[in-house]
Formats: sequence, C-alpha cells, structure tokens
Amino acid sequence: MSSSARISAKLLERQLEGGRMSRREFMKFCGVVAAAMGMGPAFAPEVAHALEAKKRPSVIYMHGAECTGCTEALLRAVDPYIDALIMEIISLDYCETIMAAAGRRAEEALEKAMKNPAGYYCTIEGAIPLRGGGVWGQVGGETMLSLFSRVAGGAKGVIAIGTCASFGGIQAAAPNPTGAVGVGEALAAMGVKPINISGCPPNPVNYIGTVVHLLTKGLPDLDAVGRPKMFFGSTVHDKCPRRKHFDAGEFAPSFQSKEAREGWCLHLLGCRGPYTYNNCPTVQFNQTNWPVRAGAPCIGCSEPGFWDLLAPFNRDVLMKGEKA
Amino acid sequence: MKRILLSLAALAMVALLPNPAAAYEVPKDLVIKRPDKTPVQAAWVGQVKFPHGFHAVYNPCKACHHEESDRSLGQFLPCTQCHVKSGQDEPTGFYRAFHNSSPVSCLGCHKQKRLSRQAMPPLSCTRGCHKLKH
Amino acid sequence: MADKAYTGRITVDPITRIEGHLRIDVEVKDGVIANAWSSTQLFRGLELIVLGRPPEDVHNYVQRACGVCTTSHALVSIRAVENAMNFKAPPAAELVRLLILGTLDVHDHLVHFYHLHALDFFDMASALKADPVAAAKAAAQVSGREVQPGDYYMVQARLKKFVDSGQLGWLTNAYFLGGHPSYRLSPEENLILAANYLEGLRVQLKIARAMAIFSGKNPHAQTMQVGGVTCYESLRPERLAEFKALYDECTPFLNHNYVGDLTILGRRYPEAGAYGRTTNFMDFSDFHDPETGKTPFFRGGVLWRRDLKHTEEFDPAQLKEHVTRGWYKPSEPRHPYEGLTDPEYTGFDANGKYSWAKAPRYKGEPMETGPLARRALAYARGEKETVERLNAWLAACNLKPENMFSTMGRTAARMVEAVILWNRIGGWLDDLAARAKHPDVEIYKPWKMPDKARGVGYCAVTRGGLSHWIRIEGGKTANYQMVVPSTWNLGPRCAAGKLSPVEESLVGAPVADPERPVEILRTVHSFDPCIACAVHVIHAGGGRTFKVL
Repeated sequence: MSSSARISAKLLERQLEGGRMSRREFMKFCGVVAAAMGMGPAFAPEVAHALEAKKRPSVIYMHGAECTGCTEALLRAVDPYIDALIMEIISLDYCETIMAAAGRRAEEALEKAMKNPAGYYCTIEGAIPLRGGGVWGQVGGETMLSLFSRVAGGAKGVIAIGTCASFGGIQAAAPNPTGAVGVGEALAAMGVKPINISGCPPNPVNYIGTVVHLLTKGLPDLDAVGRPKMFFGSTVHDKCPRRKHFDAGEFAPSFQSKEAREGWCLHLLGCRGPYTYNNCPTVQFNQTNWPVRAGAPCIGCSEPGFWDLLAPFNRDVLMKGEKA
Repeated sequence: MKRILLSLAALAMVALLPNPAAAYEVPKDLVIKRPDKTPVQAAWVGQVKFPHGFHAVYNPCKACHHEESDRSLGQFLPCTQCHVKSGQDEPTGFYRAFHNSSPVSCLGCHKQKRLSRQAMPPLSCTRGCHKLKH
Repeated sequence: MADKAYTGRITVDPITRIEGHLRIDVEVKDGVIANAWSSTQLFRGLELIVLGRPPEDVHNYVQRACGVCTTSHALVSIRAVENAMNFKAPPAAELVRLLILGTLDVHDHLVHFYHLHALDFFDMASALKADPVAAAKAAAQVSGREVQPGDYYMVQARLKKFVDSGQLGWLTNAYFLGGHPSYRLSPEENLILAANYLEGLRVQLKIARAMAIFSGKNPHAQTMQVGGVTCYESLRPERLAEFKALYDECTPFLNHNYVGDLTILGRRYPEAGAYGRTTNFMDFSDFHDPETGKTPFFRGGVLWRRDLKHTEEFDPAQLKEHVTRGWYKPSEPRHPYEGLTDPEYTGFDANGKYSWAKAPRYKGEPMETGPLARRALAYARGEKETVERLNAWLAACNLKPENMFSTMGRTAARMVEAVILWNRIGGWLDDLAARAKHPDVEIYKPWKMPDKARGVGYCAVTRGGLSHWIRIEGGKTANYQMVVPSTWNLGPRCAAGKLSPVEESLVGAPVADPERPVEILRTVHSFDPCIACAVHVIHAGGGRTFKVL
C-alpha cells in the first residue's frame, strides 16, 4: 500500500468508529494508561468508562513565562493523538497557542470557561515572574500572577506542566532577573497545590497519563516535589540501557572516542541520570529516541533548579571547591 | 544556707542526668561494607569510607538513623542492620538505603543540601563516595 | 457587526495562535487601518542568565528561548562559539545539523500555516454544510493528490459530533462562528482545509519524530554540541532507513495538500494579496556545503524597496538596535556588541514607550526577515525552483509578482520555502548515509576554548535571520547578544519613528467587523510571531555590556 494510502486508510479506520479512535485502539490506550498508573491492564475498562463520559471535562491552559515547548510536546502525543485529546477526551476551553478567538473574544472565552458549573481543570505552562509586582509578564493587561491566581484558584485541579511551571525553570536560573518562580510557589498562599509534571519539556505521556488519572482515579501519588510517582518514581540511571557499561566501569572518556561510538556509559561526560527522576529510558521521546540513546548525556531537566544545581553540563558534577 | 543546699541539689541533679554525648559511641570514620549475601553489581564500586564523625557534627542523629529515637542509649544501629536485601529495585534494600530521593539517604540529602545552597557534598558517582580508579 | 465603516481604536490582547505574548493596537478610519502599534508583553532575561557560564554550555540555556523554533537557538549558539574558536565541525556533523535545522524549518512552517494561521481563513463550522464528493473532487483538482470522498465524509462526521456536543473547546468564540463577511471559502473548500488541518497534526509529529532520530528528542535537541554532534547510533543503517520512511510518508502532504491549500486561499482572498506590505527585506545565508562551508542553499542578502531587480550583501556592521520606544532607560541606538540599556517599565504609551522588544534597524531602516524575504531574494536572483514555484502560485491565483509583497504573498512564500526545503532534505540524507557507511565516520572533534575571543553565529531559521553574538573572557561568557527575527519584524518604532514591519504592514488593511478584526490577525499571523524569542533588554553593569532576552 502506498504511504499516502496508508495514511488515508488509518484516518478512515479511526473515523469509522463514529468519529473517534477505533474501539480496539481506545482500549489499547486505556490499557497502557492503566498499566502506567500501576493498575494493571485489567483496569482498562474502568479507565475507558471514565473517559467516555457524556460531557468532556473542561481544561483551561495558561501560558506564563515560557517557551511553548511543553505545548509543542503535547502535539507529539500518539495514542491518544492531540486531535483525539482535544476533540474526544477533554474540552480545551482556553489555550492561547491554538484557540481560534483572539483579544476580547478570547478573554470572554476564558471567563465563560471559568464559570462552567461542572468546574474546570487548570494547566499552567511557564513560570510566574514576581519582581516589580509581576509587570515583566502580562496577558490582556493583567499580570500573570494576578490572572493565574484567579484561574488556578477556582480550578478543580491544577497541573503545572514543564520544569518552568513546576520549579521556575530557565528564567529562574541565576540571577533570576524577573523573580520567576514555579506555580506552586507563586500560588502557595492561595492553597493551590499543583501536580508537577516536570521535564524540559516533559514527555507528553506523563501529562496525558496524569490527566487520565485525575479523571478516573483522582489525585495520583506524588513525590516530595509534587511529581506523580508513577512517572517520576525512578531515576534515569535506574532504567538506563547503558547500565551494564556503568556497572562494568566502562565509561566513554570523550565524545570523539571509540568508546562513545560503541555506546559506553556517559557518566564521565556529564550524565545526570543518577540524580534525575523521569521515565525517559523506558517511554522515550517521539516514540523513537532519547538523549542517552543518541549519545547525549542527560542534563537532569526534570529536577528542581537543575540549570544551576547540575551545571556545568558535559562533565562530571563539580566537587566542592572545583570551579566551572 | 537553704540557698546553698538548693544549688548543691541542682548541681547534683545535673551531674546525675544522663549526658547524651557521653552515652553514645560516635565513631569517627566508618567503612560501609556490602552485607555478605548481597551480590556485587558494579565491581569497581568497592567499599565506602564514610566520615561519620563529620556528619554527626552537622546533622542530628535522627537525620540518618531515621527509625531510632534520640533517647536510646548505647549504639545506634548501622544502616546494614535493616537494609540488607540485595537488588537495586528493592525499595528498602541495601542499595536504596544510600541512593534514594529521601533526605535520609546519602544521595537524597546531598542533592538537597546543594539545591538549598547549604553545602556542596559530593554527588559524583566516580569521584565522591565511590572512587573509580582509571 | 458594523453596518457602516468603522472609525476608532482596536486593541487585540492577547493575540492568540502565536508563540508568546503580544498585543496589537490599531487606529481605524472609515474601515481601513491608519496606524498600528506592536507591543510584546513578556521579558525573561536569558542573556543575563548565561553570563559567566562556560560558552560550550550556553546552547542548552538559549535553546529554551523557544520551544516552537526549538533547536535553532542551540544551533546558532554553537555556531557562534565555534566561530569564536575558528573551529569547523566534521562534515558528517554539519550534515546532521542541516537535517535538524531543515526538518525544524519545515515542521515549523507546516504547523504555523495549518494550526496557527489557517483558522483566520477557513471556517470549521461551514465545513459541516459541504458535499464531501464535490470537496474531494475540488481537492484533487487543486492539489494533484487523489482524495477519497469517504475520508472527507468521515472528517465531517467527526466534526459534526464535536460541534453537536455543544462544547466547542478551542473553537469557542471563533471569529467565523455565525458567519463573517471576510470569510469567503465555500463549504467544500472549508472541508478541505479542515481535513488538512487534522491530517497536518499527524504529519507534523512524524516530521518531529524524524528529527528526533538525530536530535535525541523534539522539542529541545540534545545531540548538538560545540565540536560536532553525539549521535553515533543515529547513523546506523536501520536508523537512516527509519528517517527515510518517515520522510517519504510526509512528502505527499507537503507537495500536494499544502500547495493546493495556498492556491485555494490565493484565489479566494485576492485583497490579501494587496494589503500587508512592507518595504525592505533581509536574511542570512544558511545550509552551506558541509565540506567547504560555502555555496549556501539559502542565500541571504538585502532587498530594498521591493525592487526585484537588485539585491545586496548584508553588512553586519550596519545593524543597530533602538530602545527609544521600548521600556528602557534612554540610550542612543547601538550595535549588538555595544548595547547598554537598563529595563524600565513605564506602562503602555502609544506616543512614547510601549514594548519590551527593541527595534533593530539596518542602515537606519526597518527590515522584514523570514520566508518572504528569502524567497524574494531568491526570486530576484532567478533561483530556478523559487521562480518556478512562486510563478506557478501567482498564475494559479491570477496574481502578479508584486502581489508577493502582501499578507497572502508572505503566506505563500512560507509554503514555497517549506516545499523547496523539504525536497532538498532527501539529498542531505543520502549524503549522510554515504558517509555513515565508513565505520569510523567522524562526527565530533576536540576543541580548545580560547581565553579571549569574539564570535557570531548566523542562521536562516523559520521566521527569519537569527544571530547570536558572544564575547569570551577568561574562557567564560562575558557578553551574549541574541538578535532575533521576530524582533526585526514585531518590534516597536525606532528613534526616527519609523514603523516596524508588522506595524507598516497593518496600515492600509481593511477591517470589516471591529468586533472580530480577522484582517488584523491574518496580517500579524503572516509574520509567524515568536515573541519568547523577540524580547531584548540590554542591561548596564559596570562597563560590561550584555543583552537580556
């Protein structure tokens, strides 16, 4: 079958089920999510039932001090694809990156979504700049701090997507000129306790899996910094396929070495895998790769403050007294 | 006279109270050894020379001896008394006792101290607690 | 909806379907825009953050300027540092970088057109009224790719179920809902665009997957380093074959669907081929030969006053950035290496300061940069593929070459560039595969950081000419400047009061309905704004100069 015909056939098959994923694919997806949530594949029907509710749950997605990488990461999702997510699983009632309305009409869409009698979930991408009362970041003439306080404050649940929203991220790296902090820190006084899906950007599986867990089983088990243990429970080092090299003391001494070419452990080249909680080695990115597999040492991008704590990269972590 | 007697009594009481510092043995340096049954995973790791006295100066005992009360007398239990099981996936096994996100583990605490800029304890796998000989 | 031509002020904030935070103000007189102001709304400080850090680390940090044009800032940072070291990476590494940049530019153009721009032109709700058989026929006719009516029937069914649910999600309050006089596609044409919007979502993730084979992940590559790349595993035959398979799967959509859709739009919106004009254009050369570093596939330069008969080379010394109308303490215009300004927020004042962005000027003039600049330069130089494809589009839409300087022309140039670049990528892959046959193919070379040096890196990225300028002292980053395409295009006025490209392009555009000013969106979106990249601040600090992003 030609590739274009294949794409068509897949589209058709998908849509044959009355405009949704095929039943088989949907159950497969639910099984995968159930397994990721530690429920076992037998719970797939339970997940499926919860997701097939007549009224799709409302999600309001806000952008703070960010680069939009997390939104882009969601666009890479497979099973469910982003179109299935926003057409059949949730109702994405506000998201500046893709929404049709602009200006006042967009603001009205936001206010309408916040008045939803069934409530809404709030996802925030990006940090919140606090210095100078927050003038360094504004949306529609309102500071991000003020706007997100309102939106997150009224939400049924808040997810901070990405390291910026979770822990402050790149703009919070020294000297943090704008006083940027993560959502949990900025809105702590309001009692907002977000689920942190960190990563720069995070694997979309981790975000979507968390949304599904919220909708079906409620709040997942969180670690000490608010990340779901089902995705952030083990370190990159724990599950790394190059572990056999680490254990054998086989370390690549340089990027141009024969050992690097042979795929030896990247510890001496600065791999932060032992300090980084994330599921990159098992889930991979874009269904095909992840940094270490591609010869690039992990930089620890899902860890709080990693831009300073785990830097400089490409060399072993500094010892006390060692200069960058 | 009454005042002198009272002061003497107070002094005596203080002298007789158990002195926490004197009640424990605080070893200065320890060698953390793998429990006999635990198979070797990374051969180069070897034993860890642990500056226990140094840690005891800067941290309360309970920070690491997390299951024991500060008021016990004698010796605290070494980690390997409870954390014996082999295998890195074993949640309370030997490996995890030291490499865990929790601050009662070496790695968890070292990370936290660095993040909060309190100190710069070693993090490196090959140049810190374990030394890789090239 | 206004029943007579509108006169008054319109503010659109937030501008949606862009990267970042942007506010646009216009003054309308009798239904036509007479004046405009472009104001960026977020400042983060990246260039301050990289100061003092090892230059070889900086690419990790500045890559996070943007997750949409991801990889571009990392690449240009590495180029700047390698330039400072007078270092050339091995050819196989340069090829990997070309493949990453090439897939990025195409991915970005595709997502921009379909998922950020197209909703300004097509009406999702109207697609429900279409005849799928007629639509399939029209699609095949305009794109050259056969379409099964059943496919369109199913898209319609899916849309109907979505709309009937009553929860319109991201389409809530869309300008086209209830009909809009400026939306003029037929229901069948709307169905074609709707189907391609959905298929485009599937295609973009495949392009990203293809890139991830070399970049480690997408967004945010990790395999590009100062010295080369790290991805030995990616050069294995099965990995190269995986890239090729994805490449082949995506090619029909780019060569057919994307081309056909621009024909539909160009025919239906001829007025958009008349408004949205700017005056001067510039961009940088890129995609050089991996061995020689010469013969760039994208040849940069300068084109003045829309004159397709003359082009010039770009002289970096003539670039200055103005802060007069931005939120900074006063300073005369300065070259990136000598910037010295403090941020100072004073609130929005259309007659004074009104943006976080600075205003780059070349020889004192505002310059548009991006796919239109690049295609216009190529067209002016008679580069065969650009001339053929642009002429084909102009002819199909009954337009003339001067119509390329417009909102619609800019949008068509983006399509032409995406198609040309995508078709070139196959050749780069073949070149890499031939080199990868050698088991010891070199992809990384050791380097030595100089104690004191200066370097600049240029890049022809999605939205235009990008440059990073680094000064190294004591082997560390002493100064770092980012001059970004969206700052050229979407900054504010300069000291001489000259409007920036987007501001100029808005003047003369009609506004049919001031409550739903879609024409403003059509033009602003045609620049593909990326505001996280765009914001600059220069901060004074004891004689050191550094720019803050």
